[in-house]
Amino acid sequence: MKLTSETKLFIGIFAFTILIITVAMVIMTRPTKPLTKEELILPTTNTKGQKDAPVWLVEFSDFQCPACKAFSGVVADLISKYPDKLLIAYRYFPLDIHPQAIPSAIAAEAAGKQGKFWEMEQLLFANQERLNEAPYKDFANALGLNLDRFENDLFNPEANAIIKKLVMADVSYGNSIGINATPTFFLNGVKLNLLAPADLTKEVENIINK
Amino acid sequence: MNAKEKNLNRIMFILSIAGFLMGAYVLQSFLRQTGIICLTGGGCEAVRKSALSYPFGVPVPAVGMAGYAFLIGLTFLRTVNEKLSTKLLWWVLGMTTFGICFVTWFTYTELFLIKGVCMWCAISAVNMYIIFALTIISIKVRKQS
Repeated sequence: MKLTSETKLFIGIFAFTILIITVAMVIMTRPTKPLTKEELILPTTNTKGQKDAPVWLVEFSDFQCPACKAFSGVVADLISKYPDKLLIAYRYFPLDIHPQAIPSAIAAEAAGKQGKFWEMEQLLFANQERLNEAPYKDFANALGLNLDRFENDLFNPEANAIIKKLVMADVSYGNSIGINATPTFFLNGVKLNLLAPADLTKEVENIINK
Repeated sequence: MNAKEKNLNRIMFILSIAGFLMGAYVLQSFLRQTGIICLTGGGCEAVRKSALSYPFGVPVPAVGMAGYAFLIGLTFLRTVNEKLSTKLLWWVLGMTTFGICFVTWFTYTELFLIKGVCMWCAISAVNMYIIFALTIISIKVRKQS
């Protein structure tokens, strides 16, 4: 069969497209350099576990994100199972589609200032469906926080602005390293591609048991 | 095909390839459950996680890819055989008519049911409308010649 010049042109365009896709796939699947601990865990970042643990897991998360809630239980189980071998760090990544994402992050940080970040984190995820009622004062009460300090951090414009700046700095950093979904995990600086919460356990245990 | 028709067919072919590639990018995100680069905030994530984006269990980008693949095939075959060209143009019209109905339904679903807009879906919808318009112009050109 003799091809027309037009058909040849179309085959050329198609072949060029395949070439571009191949190059893009090679570039996109190239292993990236792991991020350093100092980059991912700042002095202000909330952490749990051994500071010098050989395995460190950093989570970028949003308290109103259902997938983050599903993963939070796994993270809690991991740190209780490997308290000496694992360090976990929580970084804020509130999504625009969640109206209480930033207020809940501010509430968690305010609790963190009183040493109860992780307790507040668990309460926020456990009561995720209630977050639209902004029940932060109830949670602070339940955790026995100093209510005056907590309310000042939440409602005093200056104190609130300082905490919000910290939260938004996490968002800016997350954006700069290409985070576009929550939760996103980094294990020893390497971004994980997880399909289900159980995959996180596997990944962490693979490194711990190496 | 005259020169004007050839140019229109070329543009439709290239736009179909672009639509297919967009569909492939979004589909891999649907299947691997990974994030999508999105300039419309969390719209792409909201769409990806919604059950409405899987009509009859089929991810919407897979439907888009199938439609665009069909259009790539049709526009390509129009260059192979001059006799078939007119007949295939009606097939293109049928496919793009289904395409615009589908993207209109999905845009409505995004805006009013999911309440989030995925940038890629919006670009793909505009792309399908453009191909539909070019098909109409091609039919007019063919009738005039």
